[in-house]
Amino acid sequence: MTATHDRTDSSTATPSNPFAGAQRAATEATTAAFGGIVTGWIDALRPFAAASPVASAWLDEWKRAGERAAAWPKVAEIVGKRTPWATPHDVIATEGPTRLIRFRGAEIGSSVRRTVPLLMVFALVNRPYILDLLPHKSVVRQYLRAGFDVWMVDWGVPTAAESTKTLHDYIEGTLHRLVRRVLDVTGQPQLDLFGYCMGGTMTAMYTSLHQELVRNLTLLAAPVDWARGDCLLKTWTQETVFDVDAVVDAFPLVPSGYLGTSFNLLKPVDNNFRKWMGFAEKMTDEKFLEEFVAMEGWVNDNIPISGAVYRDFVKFGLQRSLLAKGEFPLGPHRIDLGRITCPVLNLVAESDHLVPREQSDPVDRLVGSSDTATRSLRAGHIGLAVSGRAHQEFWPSAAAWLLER
Amino acid sequence: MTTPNQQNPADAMLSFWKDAWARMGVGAAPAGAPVGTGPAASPFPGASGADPMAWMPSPEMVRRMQAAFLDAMASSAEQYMRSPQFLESVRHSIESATEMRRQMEELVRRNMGDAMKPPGQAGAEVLAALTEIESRLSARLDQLEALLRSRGAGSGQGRPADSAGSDAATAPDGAPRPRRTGRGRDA
Repeated sequence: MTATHDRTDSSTATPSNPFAGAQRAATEATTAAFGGIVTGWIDALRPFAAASPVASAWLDEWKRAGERAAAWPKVAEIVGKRTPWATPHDVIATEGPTRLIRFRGAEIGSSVRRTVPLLMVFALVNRPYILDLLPHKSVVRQYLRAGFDVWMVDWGVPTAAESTKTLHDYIEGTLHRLVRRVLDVTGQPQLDLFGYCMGGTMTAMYTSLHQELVRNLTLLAAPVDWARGDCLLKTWTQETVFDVDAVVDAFPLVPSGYLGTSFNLLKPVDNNFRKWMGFAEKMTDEKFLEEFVAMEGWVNDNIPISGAVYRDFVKFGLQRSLLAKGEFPLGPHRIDLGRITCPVLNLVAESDHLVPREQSDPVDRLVGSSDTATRSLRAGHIGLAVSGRAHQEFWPSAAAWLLER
Repeated sequence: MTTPNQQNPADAMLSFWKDAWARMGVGAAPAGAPVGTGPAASPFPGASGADPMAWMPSPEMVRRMQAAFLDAMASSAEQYMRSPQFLESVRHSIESATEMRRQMEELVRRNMGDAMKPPGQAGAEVLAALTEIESRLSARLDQLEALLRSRGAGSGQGRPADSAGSDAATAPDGAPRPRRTGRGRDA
């Protein structure tokens, strides 16, 4: 049994307000009147400023400020309309909070031309709809348009019941069962795996254990060698500074606020000042507003993570970099990326402040495959998924690479 | 005298402002000239002589100064967040947070335990009520025993049938009955 989801039945849909129309009309009238008054004053002052380019420039600036003030109702309207998924999809299976999603390509006018299913796996620390943020900024749609049958694992929001769930439980348990489910439903012997960030590391681990089920592996900003590169996250989690055991003992479910604050602090000036100044500058542009609101919604939609997984990632990844040494413990296994023999596409961002590309680059050296490729983009960690440049060339090229295999 | 780990806070502040002013191009302005009027900085080259408002920085200049200030701030923040002082404060914050969490859990556990058991006065009252009930039951049993004895004596049958088993009581099926262990108050 499957549940269907289109863009309007999302979890963020707001309850209907019978006075919404009247409220909006009143707000629009007030702001339009305010904008009119500001513009009128500025036009009245303009003859006095004609002799001074500086004064004229300031009048233009104030006029723009008036226009921006008048744009607030539009901002509120776009915030109210925000939906997290851009593409209609069906929920094929659930396991606790985890959902297995299959996208309906036919509804965006694409047809499946490649029978091998593509399963996307996102990190456990954020929501996966960043890969399907807006119709024109959707990695999912890029692959659908290229003819893929696209599936995704939405890990969901873990509860206290998941606080002891280990990385082994997630990879060898949930992910393996969902992979089996995809293969059962499609009748295929293998699938293509796609992992983003921590999800990339997890898919690489999975592939090393179940190479027979994976036809191709695409990694997007996936760290595999934390000993390389320089980033604040690594500095903050040094063993001498950060006692991950104490944190996890105190917070078995690592709170979303803690993770969100950490990510925010990686670029405090950009995230807390520049971003909002840019917003104020461009808020009269409706397209910009739509993208900004969608992005802000995602950035602030942090979720908690199981303490056991957090401990494994920090201790064996960030602090000791055991994956690159072939010693990362996963239940009874030691992960050896050399057992990956399928084609691997490694996609990296050149200005990634979260996962410096130096941490992802060693993939082609560590895997046992002879068919590897690395593509880079001048973007940041999230820009890889949502930047305009990425959607113009980068993603069509990544999809083409996969289609050839 | 400071060690690398005990940097004078004033140095960091001074360094930030020097960096910010350098990025804003203030150094390019002639000595004594107002901010933003340096030849490289003016957004209206050649116009300053004729413009009565030339003393005022233009919006573009303000924007550039703002951007330069934020660049300097970002660079300082990055530097600070890698400093031993910041890392030490992170360590302390985490220790405090985990300790606070531990104490809160301890408090909740203790309060939960207290909530589950009755307070001291109520306990004494419950015990007194139980003892009172027990006394009344025992007195009633004594009355019944005496009544049976008197009836047995009146009919010439001696001891009542069940009183023989009062010390080694057995049920009709032979299973031992629960023994009454006392009468009245034990204490």
